Amino acid sequence: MNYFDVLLARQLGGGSGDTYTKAQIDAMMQGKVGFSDVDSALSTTSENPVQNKVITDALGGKVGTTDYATAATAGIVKPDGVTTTVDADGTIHAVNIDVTSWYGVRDIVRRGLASRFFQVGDQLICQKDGNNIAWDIVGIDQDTPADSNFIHSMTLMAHDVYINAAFDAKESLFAFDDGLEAGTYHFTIDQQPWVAGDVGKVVQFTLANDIPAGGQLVVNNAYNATMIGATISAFSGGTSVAAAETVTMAEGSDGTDLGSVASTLTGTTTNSIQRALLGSNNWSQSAARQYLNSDKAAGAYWTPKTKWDRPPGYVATTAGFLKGLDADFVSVLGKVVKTTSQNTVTDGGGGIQSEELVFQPSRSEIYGSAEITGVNEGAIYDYYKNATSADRIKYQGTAARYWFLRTPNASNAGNVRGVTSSGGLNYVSAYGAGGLVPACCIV
Amino acid sequence: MFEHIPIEEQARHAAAEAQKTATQAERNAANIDYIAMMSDIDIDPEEEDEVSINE
Repeated sequence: MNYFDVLLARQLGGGSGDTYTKAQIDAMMQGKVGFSDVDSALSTTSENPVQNKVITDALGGKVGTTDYATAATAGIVKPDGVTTTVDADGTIHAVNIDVTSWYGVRDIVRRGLASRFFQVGDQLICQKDGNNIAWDIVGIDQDTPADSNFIHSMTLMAHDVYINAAFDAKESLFAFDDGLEAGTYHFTIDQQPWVAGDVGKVVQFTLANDIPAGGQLVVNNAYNATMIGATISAFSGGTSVAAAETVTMAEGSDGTDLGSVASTLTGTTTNSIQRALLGSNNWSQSAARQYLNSDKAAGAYWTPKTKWDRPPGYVATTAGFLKGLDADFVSVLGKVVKTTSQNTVTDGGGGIQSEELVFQPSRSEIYGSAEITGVNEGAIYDYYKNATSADRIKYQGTAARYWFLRTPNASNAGNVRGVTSSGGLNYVSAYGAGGLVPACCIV
Repeated sequence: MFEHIPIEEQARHAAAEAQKTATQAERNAANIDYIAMMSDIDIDPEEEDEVSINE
């Protein structure tokens, strides 16, 4: 045993004449480091162990007396523009906050900090075709993003009526999947809610030309005028705007029977008479929804959503709402999940869920009341809590306008809920020119 | 374009916008006055003839 073996044996508590295997030495070495020099100060060059108290003191000096970022400081902007956020697992981040761009706003929303920088009632301004559009912040974290990767949202609603436009156009009364040959036809009016004298009457007309597959017949009388003596027009399809033929309807039962017409759907060919006279109040099939969510040019975005659907005039002359909007604004918008009531006449009642990018608010989101008991179209936006009728008035220029909600008048197939020029809740025909007030969400 | 108008600032912002509109209206009115003034200046027909390129 040499000198170093003796020293080792002493350090390990054994006798100087003992011998050990390597495993025994390793076991005995656990926690015992006193056999080598121990430094009393930190060093950048020494390979020796250092005293515990020296390390403790050094670490203590690192903590110092300055405050750490905590959950309580999350979202508070420091003078240098840097704020802190805390993840669910407690990880604290310092982040740069930008309140000067749409991308910055989206970043704030996504971090769940919107309510620290914005208030309901604040306005954000973007441009469309060089003109300002003022958006009211109507809710923070009230809408649910459709993309489950995100949980936060900030809902914007145009401060003013953007455009006076129909919710939907009057639809065709008949649509023929296989076309219709030229000849004389008749149908029976089983229901006509606004002209009692027409109920029970049989109407006939004669077409000189065949109607192709997908063609339609459109009645041209006003909703509150008799069909007797009014005209009916043939179109080659839903996208055709020029009538192929227009003939007069008369009382009579000559020719082939097309069946009866009523407020409800009576067959695969015949539409609801309410929709033929008023348009459809179904938001998901509406022209307004197509207009608000399109960035295409005039005439390039409307497509029929049902076999009876017809285009309102403005879709041929007005570009989609998203066209000409600031691209950076559009890029921070995200779809949210919405529920919309369905009328009980043709659509079965209840509510239907959809993902919406640009939308009209619902009745409950503006008034807090349900159109159909048990159907939740969304909580009232904070902006409209405790609102008076005057607070709900929307203007186009200086003129107060009736503006559409996306909610149908549920007991009718063609009337749409809306806000009157006095701020009250009412309904109006889908084909009527009401104001569209776009709403959307930063997600 | 992005602009944020806090709710507390909207009244002031609206007033500033109204002031801008009023200022523009004043400018327009001034321009109209100027045009009206210029239109009141008579041009001597003979003098006009003297500079006619048809001669």
